[in-house]
Amino acid sequence: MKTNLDDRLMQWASFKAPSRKHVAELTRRITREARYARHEVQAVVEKPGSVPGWSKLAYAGLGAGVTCLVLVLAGLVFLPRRNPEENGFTALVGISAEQRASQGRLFSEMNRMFTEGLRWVVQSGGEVGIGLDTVPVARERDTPPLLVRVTVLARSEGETTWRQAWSADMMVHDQDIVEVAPDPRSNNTLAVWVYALEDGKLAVDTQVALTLPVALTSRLNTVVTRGLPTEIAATRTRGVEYRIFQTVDTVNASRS
Amino acid sequence: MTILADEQLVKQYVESGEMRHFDELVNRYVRKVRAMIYPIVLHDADADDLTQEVFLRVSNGLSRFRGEAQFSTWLYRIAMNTTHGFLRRKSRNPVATYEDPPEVEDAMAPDCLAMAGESAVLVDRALARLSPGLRAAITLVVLNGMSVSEAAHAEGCLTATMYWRIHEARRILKKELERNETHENKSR
Repeated sequence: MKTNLDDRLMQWASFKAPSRKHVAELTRRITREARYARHEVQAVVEKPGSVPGWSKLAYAGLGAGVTCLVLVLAGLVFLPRRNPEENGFTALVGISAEQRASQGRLFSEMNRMFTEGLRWVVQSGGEVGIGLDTVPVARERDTPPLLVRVTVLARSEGETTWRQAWSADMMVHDQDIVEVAPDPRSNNTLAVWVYALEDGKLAVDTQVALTLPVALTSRLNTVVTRGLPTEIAATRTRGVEYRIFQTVDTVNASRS
Repeated sequence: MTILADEQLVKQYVESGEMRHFDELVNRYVRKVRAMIYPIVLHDADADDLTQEVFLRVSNGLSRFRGEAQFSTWLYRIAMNTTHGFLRRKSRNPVATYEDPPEVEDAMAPDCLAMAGESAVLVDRALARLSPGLRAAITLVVLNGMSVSEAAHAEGCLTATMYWRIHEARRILKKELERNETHENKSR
């Protein structure tokens, strides 16, 4: 039997009900975490601690010859670093149209080479790592690969200009969770998940764990505009100031 | 466009692994699950975290869902187990934290909003005096419209026990609300 108390409780529940926006955000968070969990279960995500990509290459049975080919190919499409003094601050962390095109070509070439099984490409310090799908994956949306650039800028006390201390480019598929150690000389690890929203923006979850050039961990879950750099962390140690940026954009390439 | 039943979505998700089927289940039930959890934990962030945990458990366990009961029944049972497990882990009887009121969708005049807020605080306090089991009983039956037997199933107790819990929860809530209102009136 319904009582006045029940009515009052119902009113209370209405007052306490989360907004549509809150529910939408919670829904997005749940579906994203479920994707994380699913990928962990399937163990198709590269884990840090070893040089990513090479074990996959071995698994694919392509050996050292392919390794060399990958490096040569990557070398061909690498763009020369822009001079920060000529191009200003944004040039240090941004992604130019030329870079989007060249990275797109790299991804397309590699994807063709591995018969559409390319999962991700990572570049840092002249090294290139790739990850392959261990099982065929039917992706839900045919969106272009996404380029996530993480850049560490540094400047010492008294300096006015920033220099690029470390950088890594990751190219991933929409909604794939990728966790890699981009640079074998450091124990730096990056984990990213990007979801292209209908309004053209990108929902990005980035987890950065750096040991070089500075020890720092950061996790950021945000919605970004394509190509617009976002500062994800900043620190100062031993007289050196560090700022870490991420820039995310699509690359100019089809998946086929 | 055909709207699939929950159980068909589960089957398609298990067979194909396509996340869109799971996403649809989340869309259908996220509000309901959170509405079941919040009155028991009385904390927005905990309610969000637990709602997420429930759906992750569901995602991991869907392959074991045999379809002997409705998907919603199975889901609510997981929601209640997860919530009680959380409270046990925390080893505390949660109390209302009187957070800022949530965003209200329908525009309300400021004075109405203030009155609703004051009343809500009194209900918060009264609910916080209940044990989690009694809060769960009142949440399932009064706030979520379950039958007593459905609520008993979700809670894993006998129907008679659920009747007693609802009765007891109502008795305590009435007493607490009267006491709080008297106290509020005196303090004005």
